[in-house]
Amino acid sequence: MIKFILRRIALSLPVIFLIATTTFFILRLAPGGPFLSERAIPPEIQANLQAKYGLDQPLWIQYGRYLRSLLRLDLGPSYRYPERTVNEIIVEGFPVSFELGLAALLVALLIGVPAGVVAAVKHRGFLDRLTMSVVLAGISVPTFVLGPLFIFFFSLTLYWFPPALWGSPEQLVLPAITLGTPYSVYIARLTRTEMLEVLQQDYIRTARAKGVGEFRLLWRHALNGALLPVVSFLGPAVADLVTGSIVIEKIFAIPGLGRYFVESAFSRDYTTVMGTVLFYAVLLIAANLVVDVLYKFLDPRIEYR
Amino acid sequence: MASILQTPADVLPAALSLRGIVYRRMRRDPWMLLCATVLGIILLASLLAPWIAPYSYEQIDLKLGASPPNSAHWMGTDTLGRDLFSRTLYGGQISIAVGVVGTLVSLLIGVLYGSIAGYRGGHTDEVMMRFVDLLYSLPYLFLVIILLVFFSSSILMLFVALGLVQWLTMARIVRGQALSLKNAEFVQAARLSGTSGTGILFRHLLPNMLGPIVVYATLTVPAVILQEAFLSFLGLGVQPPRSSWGTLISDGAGVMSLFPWLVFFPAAILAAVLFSLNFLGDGLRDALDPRLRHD
Repeated sequence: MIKFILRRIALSLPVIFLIATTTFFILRLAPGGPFLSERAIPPEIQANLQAKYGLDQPLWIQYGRYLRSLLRLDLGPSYRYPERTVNEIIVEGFPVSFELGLAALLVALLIGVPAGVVAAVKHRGFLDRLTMSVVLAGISVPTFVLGPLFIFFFSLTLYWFPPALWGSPEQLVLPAITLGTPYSVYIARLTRTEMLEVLQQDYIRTARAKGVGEFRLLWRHALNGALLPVVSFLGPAVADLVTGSIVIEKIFAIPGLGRYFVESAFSRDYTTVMGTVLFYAVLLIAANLVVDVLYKFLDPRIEYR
Repeated sequence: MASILQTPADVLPAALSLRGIVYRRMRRDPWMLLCATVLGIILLASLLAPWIAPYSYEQIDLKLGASPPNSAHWMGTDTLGRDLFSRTLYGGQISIAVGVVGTLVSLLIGVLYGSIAGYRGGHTDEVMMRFVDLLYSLPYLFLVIILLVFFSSSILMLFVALGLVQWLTMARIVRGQALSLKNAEFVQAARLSGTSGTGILFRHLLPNMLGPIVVYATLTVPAVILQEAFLSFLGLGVQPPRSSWGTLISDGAGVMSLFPWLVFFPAAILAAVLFSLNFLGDGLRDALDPRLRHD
């Protein structure tokens, strides 16, 4: 087990290095720069700015410097917000995105799993058709339509929840539901397929023959087996939640990391862009590793090499 | 002679060719037929936009402004007085093109990669699939955003970038198929008779994997269309005055409480297309999945 984890970490290191290198060169080879804004800056000041951040040096020297500071886990100063470092921006923005993502995941599980179980039990019945159609409809409406729609109904018409901004628990509700809905859909489908499979297995018949109540049979015996693939779906889902939250943060004016990323990309803030991408890459690799380890605990049949 | 040869085909149950499955499924499930019809109509209307659209997509009429649906503009007009129906039709061309080309790019990479990994097996397979596992855990859309922001966000770049995001799952599916097919007797026979690796791949493996590939491609198209819309919402998709369904929705969403029709029509069309594609893809996948076929 320890060996498996170490091996995975060792495999990830070159990938992280590769991402760092690729983003660095993509950004530098692209036309434009952080200080070439529409506001004309006198050439002397521009030269000074370039010199301050070492942008006047040859590319490979900049690259070397960048890698060396990465080893110290220092992502460098932000060009867009001169008095802040990228580390500070991440520390400030990420907890917000994380809270949003976690709440959305919770919403997805709370809707998705029960819906999938119901659909599987009533397989081919009316309820199955209904849930699966609702589920498909859920994927077919993009979150950036769902979000404004929710704001329109629940904030501007019914006054139930605040339409935007961040801080109070009520402000978490609408964004979390908006972000979570598409994933509840995937989870519902996955749960349904797996439940259908599990319900045909011998151990379910045995349990039923021994007189286990139908409710307990479904929600404990069967669901335990059916949830395994759902767990493995959670790894990639974290990736999607992270990217999805970019749009949600924009709609609900939430000061999360996703919004910083887009803003800094538009203003060619090299360090913030590279830092955020790298941070998310490490996060996602870690999330996938955690999910794989969790999987192993839940299903002792799986062997790791 | 001919009649003798034809008899078995009539007596035996229909072979599970892709076309056969699609046909049977459609006949049994009227909902799938409905979805296919809706999809067909929207597709055709978009393709024929230059002949159907009553106005051009960039014809501005500031005096008109944003007007609700009426007899002259039956989807209404946007804030610049452009006809929404025409813009939705032309936008469909772009959205559909992005979906199809993105899927083709992902097909090209995914099928080649997956079939090589699966057919070679052993160490090659191990290394290639570990690589895919790792790529799975990358924040792809972030890289796409970088590509689009830092280089021009041209339609071509959009095609390539979105295709690059989508090939991983395709590679996994194809690899699984190749792995299970490579020891089949007909492949062994081909190998024994001296067919080269590429020959086996293209003549024997690929035709037999076509079912799952086509089904998964049906599910990839809506995913790519949705991603284009996602990028458009961030201002990275198609640039004005051209429009895609994504840019129309994103423009409309901003003024939703004032001019609700501007978001309603494009969103409804996009949802109908995504729903139909997903419904068809799901149905076909269930039909092809041997685990689900018997019930």
